[in-house]
Amino acid sequence: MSAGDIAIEFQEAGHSYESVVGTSAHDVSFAQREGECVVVTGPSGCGKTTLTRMVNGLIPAVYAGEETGEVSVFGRAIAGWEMDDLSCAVGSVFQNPRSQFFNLDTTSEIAFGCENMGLPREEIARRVGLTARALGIEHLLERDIRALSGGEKQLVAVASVYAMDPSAFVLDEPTAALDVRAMLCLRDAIKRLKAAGKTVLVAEHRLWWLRGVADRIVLMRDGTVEADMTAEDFSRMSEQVRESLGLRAWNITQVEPRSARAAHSAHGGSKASYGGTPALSVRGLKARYGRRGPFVVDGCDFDTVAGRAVALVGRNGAGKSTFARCLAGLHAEVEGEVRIDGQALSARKRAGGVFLGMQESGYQLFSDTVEGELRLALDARRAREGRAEAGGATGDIPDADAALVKGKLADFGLEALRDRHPLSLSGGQRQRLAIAAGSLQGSRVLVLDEPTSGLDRANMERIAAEIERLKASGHCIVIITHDFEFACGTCDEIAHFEAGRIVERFDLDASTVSRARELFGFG
Amino acid sequence: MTVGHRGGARRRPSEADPRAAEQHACALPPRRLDPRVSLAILVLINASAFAPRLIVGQVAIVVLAAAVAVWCGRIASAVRWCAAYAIVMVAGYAFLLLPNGVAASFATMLVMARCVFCAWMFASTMIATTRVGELACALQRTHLPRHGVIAICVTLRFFPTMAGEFRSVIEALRVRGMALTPRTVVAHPVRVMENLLVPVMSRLSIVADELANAAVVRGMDSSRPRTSYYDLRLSAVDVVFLTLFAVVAAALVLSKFGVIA
Repeated sequence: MSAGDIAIEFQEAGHSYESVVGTSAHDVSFAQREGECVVVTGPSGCGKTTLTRMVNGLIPAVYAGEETGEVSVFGRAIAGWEMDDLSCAVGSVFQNPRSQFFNLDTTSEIAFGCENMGLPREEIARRVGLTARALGIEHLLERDIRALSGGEKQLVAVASVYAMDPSAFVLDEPTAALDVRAMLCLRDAIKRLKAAGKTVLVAEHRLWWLRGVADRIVLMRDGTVEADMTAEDFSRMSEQVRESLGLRAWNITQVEPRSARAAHSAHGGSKASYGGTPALSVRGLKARYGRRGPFVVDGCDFDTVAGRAVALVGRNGAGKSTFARCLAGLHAEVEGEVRIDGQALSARKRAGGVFLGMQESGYQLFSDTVEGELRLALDARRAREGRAEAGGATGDIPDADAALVKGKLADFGLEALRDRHPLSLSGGQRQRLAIAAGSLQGSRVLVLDEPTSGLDRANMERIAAEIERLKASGHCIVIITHDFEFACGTCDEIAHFEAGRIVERFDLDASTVSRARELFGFG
Repeated sequence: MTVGHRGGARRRPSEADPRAAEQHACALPPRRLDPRVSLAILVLINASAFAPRLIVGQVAIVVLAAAVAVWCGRIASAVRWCAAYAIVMVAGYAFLLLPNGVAASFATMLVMARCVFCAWMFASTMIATTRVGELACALQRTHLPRHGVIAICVTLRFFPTMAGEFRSVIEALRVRGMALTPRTVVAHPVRVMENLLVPVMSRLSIVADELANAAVVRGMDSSRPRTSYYDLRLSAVDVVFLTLFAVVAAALVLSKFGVIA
């Protein structure tokens, strides 16, 4: 097969699921040449994932439903492929690195696909070595997978597919759990794949990292292809058009902090309170794992006032997450002090008082309805206040509670979902519900860990709007994020966390944006 | 078991920590037993578990299991397990000193706990050190059907995942101001179970679905005979440990049938 042959072709292809496990697609037509990198993008629920499943054979092998049209891979219709041969021809990498591994060590994992294919042992060993060299990950061999960072895990996932020597790679939102540096590594890996003549199909929300790698962009909406353009054409598209299509940024150097865009109009209020008593004050915080481990948080000082959002940025392993866990009382500090509204609280007291929004918000929801979730939050608040005041004035609480819950539902746009089960919500909705519960539970300080991972532009903007509202109502927000677009949309300050403490801190505005970009890992 | 558990609860903060500290080191265990030997030892321990006549024999198994853990570089774990065993044993005798029915039933419970203790102890070392790929290789050589091999391997991989899911949910409860305390467990056992199990189960079912997808595209259902990256060879250490365990297990089983007094 010479370069330029068609690798993947959709001909008026469509699929509607039998059960509700994805958006159906219809009338999809486009062709991808060998050696080409095509990015499929569009808002959540546009059918991107369905498209990838139609190529890698999960439709129809796993997801039954009604199919129309035809998808062919290397000139043969999907129906005509044996699953074995198809998995050797098309390699798949999924969104969540955690749930695509079968082994606990990297070398076994990379060998796994080849073992299933029944390759002789010498050949497997040869391919494992070859793969590690080709992707530049020799240092990741013979390691415990659980100890790798998200980015390293995703590289191992690519490697384990690469070892099977497929001609095409299908990646479904591979960067949802990655930071900027890891995304750049993945970009490098995709460049290597292209250099080796592989065909790459990526379904993604976040687009900037594919700039310079992608040859074509396919826009999807409501289950079908809306536009199919070259990367050059896509680059020429104006930011306004991109925004109206609900797409994430393509060129990160054009992303500006909100304060630079919308002057200082709404900013005055929070600036005024900047000099007041800090709502959260951390002094000399030290924390470590084990009794003799090195300090992961090492003498950290941090103050922040109500009504502001601070983005905590820094490398993987700088101690950001441990710091967040300390703030939320999940990890006890060895030394130092955390004050909330001037009151020093022990780790045990902070638990429940400082809300930590976890990356996987599904863990944090416990009720069987959305409304019930908010009631639980309110109960937790009453229990805590009750303990603190030992039975103060608690007269007309039921009525007031109902009104509070109703108000929150309206504020966070969750009214229509009030009777839904939290786990039936989409990722963005779940994240919003978790934040709503956190604020209703009476936490003055909300620490959010990657609140926008895996979210499209609309959901990102909705969460940014919610954070604005929380700021206005006097909450103090700390956000661990590697999402530069999101930080620009909502954060007032950047705090650079390095080697266990905050080493640099500045207001995010037009004059500091280039430094901020650097800290996020660009350039 | 209760006493052992309480001891564990008090140590919890520091117990979770070495795991994370290990994560920073992130090296694989330096040495490990051949998975076939591990499986054989596990069978031996189970076969002799309920022959508790010879306390000495049981202690010997605990000591051997600890020796394996130490040899595999898991010294801290070996010390913890031995300490826990000592607590369970002492507690069992302590209850026997109290002359009433309730204490006696507790003592019986502890004796039962001690019987399965060795198996848990050895299994923890095995799960932590055995490579899934090697285990698969070992099982394939026994001509177990492909699906059986993969089911066992995925199960092994699932234990750490499950432990992680439980940890995350317990932390999430604390963040939501619904921390698990002995009081809430006693006062609202049903609600606590619900809050703990529903999220864990739903998360695990998601992981299982995603894992199944990954399995399909990685050729798990292939009809071709499965091969292995690993080539297993028994080492002298494997033989030594297997022999030692076999001798102790044989002594225990013989004592059960009254061959040895």
